[in-house]
Amino acid sequence: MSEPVCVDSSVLVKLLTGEPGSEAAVAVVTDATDLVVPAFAWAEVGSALRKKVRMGEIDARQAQRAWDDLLSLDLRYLQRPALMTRTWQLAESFALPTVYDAAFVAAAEQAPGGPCPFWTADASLARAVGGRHPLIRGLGQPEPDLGPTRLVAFDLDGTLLRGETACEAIARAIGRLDEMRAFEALTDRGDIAAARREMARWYGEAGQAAIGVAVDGLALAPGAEVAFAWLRRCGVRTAIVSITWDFAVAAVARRLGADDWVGTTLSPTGEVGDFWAEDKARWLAALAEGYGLGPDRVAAVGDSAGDLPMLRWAGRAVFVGGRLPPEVQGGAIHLPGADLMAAVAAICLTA
Amino acid sequence: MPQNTADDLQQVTLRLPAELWADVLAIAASEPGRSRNDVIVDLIAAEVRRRRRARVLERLAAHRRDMGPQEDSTPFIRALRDGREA
Repeated sequence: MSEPVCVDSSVLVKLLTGEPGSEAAVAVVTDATDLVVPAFAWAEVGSALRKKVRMGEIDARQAQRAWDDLLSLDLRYLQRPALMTRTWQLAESFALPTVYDAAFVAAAEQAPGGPCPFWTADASLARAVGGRHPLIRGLGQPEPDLGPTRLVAFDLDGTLLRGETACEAIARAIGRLDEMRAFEALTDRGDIAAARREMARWYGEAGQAAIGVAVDGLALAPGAEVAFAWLRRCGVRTAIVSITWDFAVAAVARRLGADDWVGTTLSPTGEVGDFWAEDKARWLAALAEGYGLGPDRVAAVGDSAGDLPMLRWAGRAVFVGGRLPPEVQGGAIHLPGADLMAAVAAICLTA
Repeated sequence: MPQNTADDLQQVTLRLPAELWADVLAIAASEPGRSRNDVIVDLIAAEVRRRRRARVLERLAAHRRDMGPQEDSTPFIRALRDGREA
């Protein structure tokens, strides 16, 4: 099926001049519905053409013609605040020395109609980031195999959200943050159950409007939105599996377009339906069975001890927490604090 | 801005196979704020751009042949990005 492609300046120059790899560059763009680039791409291509003139590889007439050809390619130049925000995030996440490469990857992630492949002729870029980001393609290299995974389950707090938990964000909004932090330190099951019922009482006093604003404003982890969009585009189902309140899980699931989600329920009359860490694996197994998928087709992403049963059950597991627990060592890919596109690459791009 | 609210539009009647229409509905449903009309317009526009680009690519092929073999510019672009090009 035709789709947009993001093309590196290195690929564009090969379209315009007879360089090694020109035929591969033509093959990449021939059926593309759109050619997407960050706004500065024309300057890089123009500089490469000027160098060819300077070095006597092409004459002024040929360079002018190549420049006119570039303008006639009808490229989609992207330049918007969201692209710049994501560019910086990617440079941070993938430890890139400058933002140029990151801007192309961000353009691929934010292509009209959803994330699309980013083709580059730069082998050093493909090597440095390619295996860690699912959109990067090396010119002349085979398309990566998506692998067997057809369902990916994500934990919420610490995985899809970083820093403040959903409960802390709500507590902050209703002036209960100090009490909530004390609750977050509880380890006894009975104490946690009692804390949940106290929180339910707070929420009843605060009203739905204040709670709704807090959950709608939860800060997502880097790459969360594009990771879900990319998985959806690849036909991979997504689920959010959390012990936190299901109304908060549902709000994030709606933002990300997750197919399924689960959490601790709170009825309109204040009754709490507890969902615990060990329920995660059972729930995920039942969900997978409903889709006709065995554990070998399911991946899970988590960050804490509470995720271990789910991570152990899934055929592929990524742990984004700081220290990998011994229980999953050897069974989980450890990507501490990873951008979620890196987590998706670890799930989908490795055999 | 939604494409079906602009003033200078040509109204047409389309007859789509049921399967294709179901795909259009699914795409529109999965992208809040994007209408069915938007989906169809975008698909047609993409096909028009693809055909226009095919003609441009034919012209580019002739221009590449005229230039003859060239040095690979990729190291130059890498050097630009890394701030190494004088």
